[in-house]
Amino acid sequence: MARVQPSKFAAMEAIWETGREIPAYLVVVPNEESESNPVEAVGIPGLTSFLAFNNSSAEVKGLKDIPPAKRPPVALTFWSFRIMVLLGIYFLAVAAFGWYLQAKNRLLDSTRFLKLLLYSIPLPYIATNLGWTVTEVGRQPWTVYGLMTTAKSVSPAPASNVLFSLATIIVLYSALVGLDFYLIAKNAKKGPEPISEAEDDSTVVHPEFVLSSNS
Amino acid sequence: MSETLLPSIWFFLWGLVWAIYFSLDGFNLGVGMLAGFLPQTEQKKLISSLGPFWDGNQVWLITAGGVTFAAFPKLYAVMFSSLYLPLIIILLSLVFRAVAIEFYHQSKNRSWQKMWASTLSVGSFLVALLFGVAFGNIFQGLLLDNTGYHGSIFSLLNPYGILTGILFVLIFAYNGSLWFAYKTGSEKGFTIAKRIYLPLLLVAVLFLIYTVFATNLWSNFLGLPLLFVVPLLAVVSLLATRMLLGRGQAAGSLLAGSLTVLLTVVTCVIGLFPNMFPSKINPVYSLTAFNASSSPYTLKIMLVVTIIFLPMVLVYQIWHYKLFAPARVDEESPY
Repeated sequence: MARVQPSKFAAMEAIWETGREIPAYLVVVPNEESESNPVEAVGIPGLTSFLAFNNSSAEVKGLKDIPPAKRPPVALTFWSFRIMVLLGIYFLAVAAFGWYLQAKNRLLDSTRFLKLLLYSIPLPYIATNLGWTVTEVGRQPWTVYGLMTTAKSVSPAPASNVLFSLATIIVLYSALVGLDFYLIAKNAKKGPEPISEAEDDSTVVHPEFVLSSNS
Repeated sequence: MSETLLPSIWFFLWGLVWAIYFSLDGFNLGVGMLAGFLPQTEQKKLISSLGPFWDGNQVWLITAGGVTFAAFPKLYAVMFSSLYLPLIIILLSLVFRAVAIEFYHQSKNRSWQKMWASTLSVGSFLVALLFGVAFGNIFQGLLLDNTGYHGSIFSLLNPYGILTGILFVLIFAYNGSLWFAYKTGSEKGFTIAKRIYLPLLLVAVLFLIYTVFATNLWSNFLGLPLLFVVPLLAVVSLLATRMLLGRGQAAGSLLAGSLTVLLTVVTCVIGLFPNMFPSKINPVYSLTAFNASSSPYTLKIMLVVTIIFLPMVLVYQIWHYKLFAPARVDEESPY
């Protein structure tokens, strides 16, 4: 990404000045107006350069070398990426801890941990959408990077039609989210089914059967 | 290699993908339309029988869109912005259809099932009707000039467009009831098919005649009369499907019915060539295989990929239908 879409990479990492051996900071708060990061703490030297080009002394392009009109919104891209990565680390930690509990045979008795898992169900969806936000917002103002701007790729279809489709899709998909969670909750409340012996006898087992009897 | 060869090949591949899509998803849409009108046991069997197939068939639609985008980007841009509203309604109807098929089995509550069966019917009907209307309008030409499209959704609802829409709905519903008969062995499937056939035949004849007056589709055939074999075969299979139906051969009848759809679409595609989005205002504004195509390099790479993968997909799908063929659905198994 740093190679083919440098402005997205710079916004994602809030890098303002072009330079070599760019460090990665654990805590960063970017400010778009002052074109700087008022807060930068706990840096690992050269890590950003290394992540971008597999070389800790590689040069990484900063946002100040990109005209403001050709930069993506920095705060949205940056925070979406940060929160997604934090969620990813959280998932790894939760999975590892669950593994540990299972190994100790305490998983099914750890009520609080199981509750935590329950309330974590929406998080992967949020993480996915944050990743999508990084991809799409970070690409702005381009539709095709460096070749075609979003403004130039707008359809000549009447705005009212686009409003209709956007509104319908938002309403429809929100309703589907509700229905999905209703169905997930309904099926989860049934609890796990015991694995029946009949399953081993049947030669044709549809994947959905396997799934439902294992869940 | 001549300059027109690659775009021409892609034009016919584009047409073929649409033809395959309509001949396969046609009976799925028909099944969907019927589902809302059946009593519970039959409804359940019928919706279950769609399970392993509808999504595979819908991939042909995605492929048709993909081919349009990659091989004819200008057509893609003009088509999707000109027909924005009808295409959005088709898209939403496809979403509703998919959700209805998947959600139907999630509860044994009868009103829940009724709601999704009705959703399935309305969604399938709209997809069939609107695709017919859209293609009817493409066949007869659109209000297109060098500044873009000048019609609205209402100018699409002209007599020829609506007639094509009704033809799509009827032949899909007919094929859907044949699928019903084939998959469940139900007498009702045969009865519905027989009842739909006569109106279908009438509309098909009307469509053939109206096409002569409303479109230029026949001019390519008059230029090369040998091509008349294709529409002739379409008519033969339309007659054969009824004959096989009379003999109680559901599978053969369905095959002939799907072949009718395939050959009808291929006929229209041949008639359209090289136009893809013809202008009613002036032919110079028409989008054709030659002025809307990608660069020869793109087309060449895509052709190589297609020659490798298209047969694989076809073989896989035929195998898929064979795999699920003998096991007729019963109430116990979801598929």
